[in-house]
Amino acid sequence: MSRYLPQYSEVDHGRRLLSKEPLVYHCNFYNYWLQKTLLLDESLGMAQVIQDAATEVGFSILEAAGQALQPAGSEQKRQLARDVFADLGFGTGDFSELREDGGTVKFPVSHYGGSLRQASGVDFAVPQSLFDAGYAAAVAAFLFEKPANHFEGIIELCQSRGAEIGMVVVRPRQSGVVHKSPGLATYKGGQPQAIFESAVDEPGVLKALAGLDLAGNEEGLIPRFGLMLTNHFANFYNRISFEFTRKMGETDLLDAGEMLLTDAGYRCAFHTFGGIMVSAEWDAVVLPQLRTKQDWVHGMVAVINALGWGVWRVAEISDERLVVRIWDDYESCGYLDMYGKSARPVSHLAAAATAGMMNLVHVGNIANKPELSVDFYNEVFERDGNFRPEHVRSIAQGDEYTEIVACR
Amino acid sequence: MAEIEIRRNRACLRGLHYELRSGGVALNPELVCAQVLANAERGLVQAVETWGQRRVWRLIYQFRYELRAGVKPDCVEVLHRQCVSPEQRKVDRLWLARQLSAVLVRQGALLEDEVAE
Repeated sequence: MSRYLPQYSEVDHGRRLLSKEPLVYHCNFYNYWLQKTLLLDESLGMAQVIQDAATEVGFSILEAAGQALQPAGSEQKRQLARDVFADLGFGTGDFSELREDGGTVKFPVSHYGGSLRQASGVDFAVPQSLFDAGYAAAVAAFLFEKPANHFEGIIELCQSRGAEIGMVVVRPRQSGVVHKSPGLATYKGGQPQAIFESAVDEPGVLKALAGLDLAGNEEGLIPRFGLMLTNHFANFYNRISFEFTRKMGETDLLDAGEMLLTDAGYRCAFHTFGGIMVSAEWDAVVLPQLRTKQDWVHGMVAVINALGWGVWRVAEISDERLVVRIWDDYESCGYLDMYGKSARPVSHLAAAATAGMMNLVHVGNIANKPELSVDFYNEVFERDGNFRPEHVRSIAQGDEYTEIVACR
Repeated sequence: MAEIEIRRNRACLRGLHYELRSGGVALNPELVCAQVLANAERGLVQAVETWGQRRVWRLIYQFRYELRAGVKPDCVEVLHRQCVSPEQRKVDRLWLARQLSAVLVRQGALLEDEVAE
């Protein structure tokens, strides 16, 4: 399958770029739970923030790709927009009806429309394809060489509500600000420490995973590890997460906001890591190397290092405690470039993921391949005496690396 | 005809992910691919991936399904595409199960030939 795309590139610390935008893998369950968390309180106005963040990264990648590839006219620009969307796992978008004053964009297949339904198990009360709407607005701005905030997308139909296809009406926008994406964070931390010695051959795992085709299929979806993956924009996650905590902080609810993001991170750990650890891919690539429960943690850390989240290193491990250090962690580095130095740690996903690994391995006995059900989640993540994370160091606060301790 | 059991994968992705199992009898992935390619109504996209010590054969009927053979010895995975109706998905699963049954028969015939020699 040939797509018209800018160059993917690998840069330091396992970070990956498409054009100038850093990418991270996340699955439909995390996308569902994060969005559900952010939309809990309608008065925060997070739906608009999510759309604007999609416009921010969409416009950034298309503008940079356009400069690099020099598409020959409108049709090739539309193809670029369609192929970027599909290759990253967001689905299939038809941008052919966009005109200078707007138009309709159809999404026959949509990750946010369809795959979030798979994660929730039921139809939604409100449309979930905010990313699609924001991206459609970015495509229109790109096609007609307007500023990123020139258009807005209005969701008319959404698969998350049972519609057969998604449909977004794009129209000129009256007002509103779309941030400029910072691109790849300017973090210049030192060399990561050596890989913790264990039975797991991390370079071998990374090499094996690099051989998997993780591009969007012909429908623009990435079904892998029993999940629906997206090769998503780090700056999208950062913008929506940090705008959420900023808004929560304005109402003296910062602690609650951080707790909610950590909870969304637990869902990611449970479904993404859990899904990976019971998958056929894990059984083939990682499982043959595992001897002890601690090896399961090392194996998962090796896989995390293929996700574009930065360089994770186990610094200390026992059955009761895990210390993880992260160089170039995408949350902290993104925060620094978007908002400057932070007074508090901001890597809530990484913190939840660290504790989540220990909970899956030691509390949930993931080696027994349990079903990843709601009951099992409650049993493992909601019980007293399970693992909880604590930030010890944070790149966002000026440290060289982020350090997280998970203990009971 | 040998029996093929159709099961939803545990993750299943709401009806997209199934397993076709041959009850402990190892399926030769290359024979599986040859059988499906020979009988499919149109050309399939083919790819081979190395998963550690395993080789996984992927056959993709675009906008209908993806078949993964070699994931486990006695199991072939089917991933339906999201845009396909539940009715068509069922038709595709049953058709693929028939192809695997034919492979099992063929494998049995090969073994008989070997014994005869």
